[in-house]
Amino acid sequence: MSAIKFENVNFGYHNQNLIIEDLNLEIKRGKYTVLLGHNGSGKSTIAKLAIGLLECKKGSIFVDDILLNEENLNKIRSKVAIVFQNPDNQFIGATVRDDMAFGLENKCVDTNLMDGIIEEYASKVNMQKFLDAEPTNLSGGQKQRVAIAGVLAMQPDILILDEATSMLDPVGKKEIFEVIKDLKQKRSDMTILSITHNIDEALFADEIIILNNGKVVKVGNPSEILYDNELLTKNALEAPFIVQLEESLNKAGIKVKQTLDVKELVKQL
Amino acid sequence: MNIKINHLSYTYPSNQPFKEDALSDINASIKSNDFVAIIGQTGSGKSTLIQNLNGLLIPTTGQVEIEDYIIKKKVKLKNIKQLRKKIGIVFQFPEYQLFEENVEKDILFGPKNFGFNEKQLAGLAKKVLEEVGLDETFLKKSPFELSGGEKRRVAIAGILAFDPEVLIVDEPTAGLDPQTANKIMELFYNLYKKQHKTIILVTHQMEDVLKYANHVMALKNGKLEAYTTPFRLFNDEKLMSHLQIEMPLILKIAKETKKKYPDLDLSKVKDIDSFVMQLKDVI
Repeated sequence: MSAIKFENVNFGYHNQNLIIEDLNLEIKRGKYTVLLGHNGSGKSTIAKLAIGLLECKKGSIFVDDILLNEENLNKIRSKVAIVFQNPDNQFIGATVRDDMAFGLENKCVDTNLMDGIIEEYASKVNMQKFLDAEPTNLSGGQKQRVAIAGVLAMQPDILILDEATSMLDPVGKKEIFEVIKDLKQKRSDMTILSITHNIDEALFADEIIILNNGKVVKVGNPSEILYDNELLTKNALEAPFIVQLEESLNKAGIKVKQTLDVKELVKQL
Repeated sequence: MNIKINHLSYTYPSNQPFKEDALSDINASIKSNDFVAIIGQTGSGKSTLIQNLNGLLIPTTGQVEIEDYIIKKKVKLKNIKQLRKKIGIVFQFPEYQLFEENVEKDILFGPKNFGFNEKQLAGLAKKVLEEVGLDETFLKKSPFELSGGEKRRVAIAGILAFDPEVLIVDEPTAGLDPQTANKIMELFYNLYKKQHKTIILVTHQMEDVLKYANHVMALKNGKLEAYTTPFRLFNDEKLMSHLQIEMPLILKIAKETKKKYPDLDLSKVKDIDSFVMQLKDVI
């Protein structure tokens, strides 16, 4: 069962070269999938194609097995929610509360329940104190928190995160990641597609897809991919810190055995 | 060009009931040709602080002194254009500021605005594009055909083009892939090292603070909690837990390793390579 499926998809802006050519891709339903790739590899384009913000030139896209076309667009958008990299691009409301309400109104949520839902999700991301603040007065990281709370409150079947925590500090990133993991645990049918450069996040994924120049070069689970320094480097990515350190030590003639545990590594020195 | 911040406080104008100082009573000075990192959690006032440094925001109380310029409420700032030419800011997501029809025009917009003549403009766009690692085929491209990382580099090139003395960069690598991020950080470090620019880096990446910065300013709830060196900061566990930051992993590993090899010089550990080099010396 696939949540998102691309079949032989082509895409390019205007009359320019194709960014994506003959792409076949499957995001499995109920899984946590991480999409890795260098800047310009086509990750965000895939996200925009999947929600119908961009239209493919050739091929077909299915969301929850429904063909993405003009007729089905609204049906598909009611299933999918996306958080973009730059939260400024998705604020609508005059206050944080209004902004979060907008998505819920669109989903026809009972107005009596709305305030409760908004407060619940704002608290999850630690923004409950800012409900009456103007989004423009918030910091970059705070805006990202609000944007995430807004889409989580909508309880989408498919959640797409496009570098959604890039402006948070590491502690904040961890916090938001826990919220999302928690939500996923409660709703095992929810599909999450995360576009990220954070290799630590990829460690927790069910599946990792590596993209290079608009093509899928590898699909696998974290243990198949994250310790393959050659594969990662070739695709403009970086191995986890510990893998890099081991390689550097071995190169310098300080022989260590491969491990993923920092303590274990220190013991070997 | 030294920057002196005196009793700077800033409150955002707002009709909202909650009204807190975004910055309160900041005192600090930044010397010429320094590499200073500004750290702090989201909402701690980092971006607000840098906007007070070139007159984009005017302190609610207190002032900022930069050479002859005094940025202060109710005092008209003379020749603000010259100040902004000297202090270039690369904002968060600078790619959203691109607006011209092609990359070359976008890069030259700043220099033209600052009165560069034809001679100064000739070849300038190509030169700064090279500095950010893009070749001349990008000159005639529309900014909208570029990927996120390419746009970011073009936006940075647009700031480099007018050759500011002080470069303020606000989370310049957020959202970039690790290899592009490294290149961009090396670019800023070279501007500091070779062209003797002052770099002020707003960041959440403690690894970058350790590797590149000479000094670090730590903000919390709009207050300056510490202004010190990265080495001192990362050796002060109490301060780190107060600021809710974590020590860079490489330093943690080096500290553990030092238990076995007491001669290991922690002050020279900046990244993986320098750690391995130090370790080789003592093993």
